Amino acid sequence: MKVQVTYHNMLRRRTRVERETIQLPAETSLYGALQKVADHYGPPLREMLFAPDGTVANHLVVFRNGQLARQDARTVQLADGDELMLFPAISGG
Amino acid sequence: MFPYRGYAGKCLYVDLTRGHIETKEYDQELAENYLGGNGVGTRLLWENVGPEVEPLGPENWLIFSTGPLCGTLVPNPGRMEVIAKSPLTGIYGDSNSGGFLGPEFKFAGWDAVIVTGQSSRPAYLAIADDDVQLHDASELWGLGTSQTEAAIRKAWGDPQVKTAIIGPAGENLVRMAGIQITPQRSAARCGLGAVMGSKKLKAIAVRGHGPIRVANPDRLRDLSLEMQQRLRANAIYPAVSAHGTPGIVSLMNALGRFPTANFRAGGYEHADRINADALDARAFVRHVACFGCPVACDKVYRVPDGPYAGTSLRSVEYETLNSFGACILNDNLDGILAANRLCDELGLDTISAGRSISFAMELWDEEILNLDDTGGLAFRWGDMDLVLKVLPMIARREGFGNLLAEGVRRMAETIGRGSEQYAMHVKGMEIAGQDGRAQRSMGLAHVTSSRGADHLKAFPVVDETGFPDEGRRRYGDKYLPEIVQPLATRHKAFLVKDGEDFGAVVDSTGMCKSGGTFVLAELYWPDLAAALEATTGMEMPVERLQRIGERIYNLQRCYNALHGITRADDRLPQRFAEEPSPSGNAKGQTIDVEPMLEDYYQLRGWDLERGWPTPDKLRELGLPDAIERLGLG
Amino acid sequence: MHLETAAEKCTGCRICENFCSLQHEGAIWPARARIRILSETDDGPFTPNICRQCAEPECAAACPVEAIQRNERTGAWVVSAECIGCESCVEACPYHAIFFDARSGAAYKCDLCDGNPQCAAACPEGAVVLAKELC
Repeated sequence: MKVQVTYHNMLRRRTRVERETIQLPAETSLYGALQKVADHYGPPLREMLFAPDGTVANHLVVFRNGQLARQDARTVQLADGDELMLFPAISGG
Repeated sequence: MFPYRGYAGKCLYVDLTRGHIETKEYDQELAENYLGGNGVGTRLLWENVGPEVEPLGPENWLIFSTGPLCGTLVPNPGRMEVIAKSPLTGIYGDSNSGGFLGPEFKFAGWDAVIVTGQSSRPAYLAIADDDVQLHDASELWGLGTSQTEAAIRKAWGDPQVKTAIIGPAGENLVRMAGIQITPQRSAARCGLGAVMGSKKLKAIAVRGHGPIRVANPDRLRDLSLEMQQRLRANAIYPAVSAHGTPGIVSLMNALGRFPTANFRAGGYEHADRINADALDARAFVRHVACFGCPVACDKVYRVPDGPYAGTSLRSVEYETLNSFGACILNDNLDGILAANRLCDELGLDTISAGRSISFAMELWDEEILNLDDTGGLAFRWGDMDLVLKVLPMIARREGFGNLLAEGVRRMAETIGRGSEQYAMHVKGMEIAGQDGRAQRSMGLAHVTSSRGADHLKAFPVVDETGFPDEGRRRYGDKYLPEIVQPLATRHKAFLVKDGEDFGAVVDSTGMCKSGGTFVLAELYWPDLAAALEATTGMEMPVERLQRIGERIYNLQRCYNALHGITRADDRLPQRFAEEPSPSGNAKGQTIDVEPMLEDYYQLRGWDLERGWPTPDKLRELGLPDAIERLGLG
Repeated sequence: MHLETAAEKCTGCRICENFCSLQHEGAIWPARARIRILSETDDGPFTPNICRQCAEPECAAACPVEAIQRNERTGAWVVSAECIGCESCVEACPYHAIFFDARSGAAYKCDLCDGNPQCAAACPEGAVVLAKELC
């Protein structure tokens, strides 16, 4: 299945890519999709997506089809045509 | 003798009517019960500026107030407060600024400058350490703010003079006039620039060469280094340091929390043209910091080419990218920078000025305003040429600018014709860059803020993104998961109340909320208490500090109650309840603040009918005089 | 040892001046800091200015009473109590990195905080760092 991923702020600096469509096996979870992306871009991106213990990084914010999604990344099953937005956590005004 | 370190121990009282300057020792009880900054300002207003006082009249007090931590070592110590009764809202008004002026007051030997009366001719106050004089400012009157600063520095022969300056907007009593603070930062909200203008005070200029003494230098140094390390290890630090507040544009847009088209929506289709990436790529020059701050969230920008080529400025904040961007449906980033710079020169609050314009644009779209009303100006969405033309008109109260200068509440009262439903304000202050439909705590914060719609009094940020680390670090597990979920309402009353109390203390000491205390959610009550002890020598157990924060906030509420504020005023414009947001994570959401407000009043110990502090609460906080004054005895 | 600066990293925060003055004066007193942030504008660029601990310093050469001596352990040139307050060193220094305190009547300058420079410890950007010679 095809999933669109948009990278924001410092994530974008590490991927050098703003947005791309990735190919995933059917029934990939959000967690699996993040793993695939981390595999592709290597440690500079991996450290922004995952904590050392392999859980999704607490400071990664994920939107799936416009809704906040990261809370239960392993149980979220992606679907063909899903759009993901990834942000490093930032807060402010 | 004033017994505490950290403070200079002295205040200046300047009576502009008589041209009289007096030095007074800092009141020890005031320091012990209100600390400084906006806490002391609140108490001074309560005691001296009653409900009968006109905000633009000579009896209003204009208070420039630093705090005991201002100018010291703990991150982030550069802030100061300006306090007065607001000509925009008619109630409690304060405005906070970073930069370098606050510390300069302290090095000059002054904790606060209290300005009363009105000068008969334009004047500026010159403070060179303990040499304080009023000078004629007739030659400066009418000048833009940076021209004024340059002229003062030239006259002193010292490029390091720090200033607080009003532009033409303050001079012309524009209700959203702000005060520019070295270096091009702003004490912008609540129209305090107009109060300064009503007193014919063009500027305060300060140069200080003295020391700030602290009680326990070794302890303060160790604490400060440790706090700095914590900030730099914080997960939010890299992004805040790299981008500043513009860094949140895309995220707020995705949350549906980026006010668009005068709050018709919470997301803008062209947000990526005005976000941090666009801004950094287009105009970034360098990172700059306020006094003593390791975050360095400010940046210098310069427009490289195009119609606004050469425009150079700093402090381009999220709020301005919103107010002259999404909220008026403008995707021209250069235009936003030009508008920002223009507001700095004119001395205008970019939030309220932008909102007056977005209000006019919606009225235009709804055909409630026409060319006759506007004097021939077409208020089409996104027209930056119009905006840049109108901003000086607001500052000079020319043509339709004279009505815009009044703020959205008065505009609506004047225009009528059903315009009121589009006036996005609470208690007369325009709503900033948040949408309660997208982030429930902000909706509550807007209605409970003591200075009218404002996100900074409570500044609930741990639920901006929904991830638990920040919430857990600050509050433990007790309130999870809801306290960090933007659309949840549970525990938000606590989040807002705690933010207001902690924020009151932060604003009373001189520390910055965009740094460790709020945005990074790293420094909390115990840290501030330890910093105060090491700096001042005051005994400051956490409970005492919490009591001080609560006292300050309750007294602000009492002040507003004196001016007729009740629960009926603690509400959002109907739009937020009736129009589901079309945007992002907030799609389909409306907000009803009432349940959260009930929780909030109960937590606060305020009565549910009027939302006033009860006599028990006032006695608990050591405010017995408020009981009588509010007729509660 | 000496301090090395990387001006392009400096944000103008003045944390160095604050920690320096606290260390030497017991108060936060930027007007008495040994390190000073220079800039032509409020917006930078900023240059941290600090004594270079020159191998053959003009200040020591100008001093008529040899009050400026090298600390053999740290390599810092230090103003001793012999100083008579003539300000010749202040005039001589090409970097404007030695100062006169009218109150005490003596010159003052960076002494590397006796080997643990506070400015370098506190600078959040790495714009001031301690460099140690190998020998």
